[in-house]
Amino acid sequence: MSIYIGDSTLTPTTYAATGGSLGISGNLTVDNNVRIAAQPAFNASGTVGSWIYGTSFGGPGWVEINSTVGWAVNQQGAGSYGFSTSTGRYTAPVAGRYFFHASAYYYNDANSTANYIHFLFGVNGSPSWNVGDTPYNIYSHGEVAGYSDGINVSAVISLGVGDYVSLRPYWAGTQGRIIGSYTLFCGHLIA
Amino acid sequence: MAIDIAGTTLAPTTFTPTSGTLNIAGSLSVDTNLKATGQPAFNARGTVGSWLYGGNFGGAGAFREAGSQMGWTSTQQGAGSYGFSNSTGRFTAPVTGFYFFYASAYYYNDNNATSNYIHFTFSRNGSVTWHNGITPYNIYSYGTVAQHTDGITANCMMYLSVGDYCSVYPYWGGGGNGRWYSNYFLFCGALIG
Repeated sequence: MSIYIGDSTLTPTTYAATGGSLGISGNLTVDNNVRIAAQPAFNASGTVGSWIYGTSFGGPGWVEINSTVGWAVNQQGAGSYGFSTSTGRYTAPVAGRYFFHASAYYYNDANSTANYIHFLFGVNGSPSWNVGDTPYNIYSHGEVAGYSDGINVSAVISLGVGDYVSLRPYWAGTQGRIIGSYTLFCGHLIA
Repeated sequence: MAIDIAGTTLAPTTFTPTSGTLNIAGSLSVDTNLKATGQPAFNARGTVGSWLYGGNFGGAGAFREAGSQMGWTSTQQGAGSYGFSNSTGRFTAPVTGFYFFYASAYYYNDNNATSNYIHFTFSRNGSVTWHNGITPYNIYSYGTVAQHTDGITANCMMYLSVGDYCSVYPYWGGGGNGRWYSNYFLFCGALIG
């Protein structure tokens, strides 16, 4: 038997809220697990299985990891936003705090300190998204020519609907490169 | 006063749905916090108390699962009849959905050879090409002089169906002189949604 509360319908296993959203005034505790089938989340990777220099993205400088890597993605809860394989940008379908992570496979061709990288996110095209400043990291500065240890970045970022996050590193020098298909970029809505 | 709805009980502070699941047809917004005590999540580490080389996992120059050789110990919730296995080092999904996984290792390269690198990667059901059919490579300790190697970590979001498993499944460079310390190893994960 169903019960109608206003326009909401409560059945033994389903609560269909008026307007499609149920608000809880207070905490919600669940004895078992929560499965949110449309919670915004995505997992993207490049598909170009060859080395790509920063110059191919428009560097040196702050340049976005764009379609040059040939993005592929699986995602859920994107609505009319989400991750775009044509731009490499994740656009928030819901306002809130998101967790993002990215990693890359990086090689420095020369022993010069000039070929470092700040492997960072951009928010709406800006690296200064963290309380007004840029949360720098730095990799491969002064390393001998070779592969660089663990190029990765993670962050919690607050987004409004329509804001976007992309991989937007600072490429110093012209002899740093990544393999497109080894690039990982993922994220999900936390709350 | 509680209301009985065809076997489901709605009390002032508790809703006990038939068969234990309440489906929300639409979005759920919560003004304060959401605590799910049975949300699948785990934390694991090794217990062997010694350095382990690629050779301990079956040999360098190949992808090798961080399996029973680690002597895993773990804490977890929401595992049901699946979850993290200390005997295999595998986390098997009790619920279908996106999971977040993280792992870190304390790694040492015995000599200056570039061949003691490591690709510190995950697998899904024993395959490292789980990421849209591709292996999301990283690389550590390539050309590092004989010494500890900076920050060996791996993160990912992985979609698992019930019964699928995720494990740490690195490629040990062919030099055979890379090693990690079992007790300092961290492998953790949680269901996101």
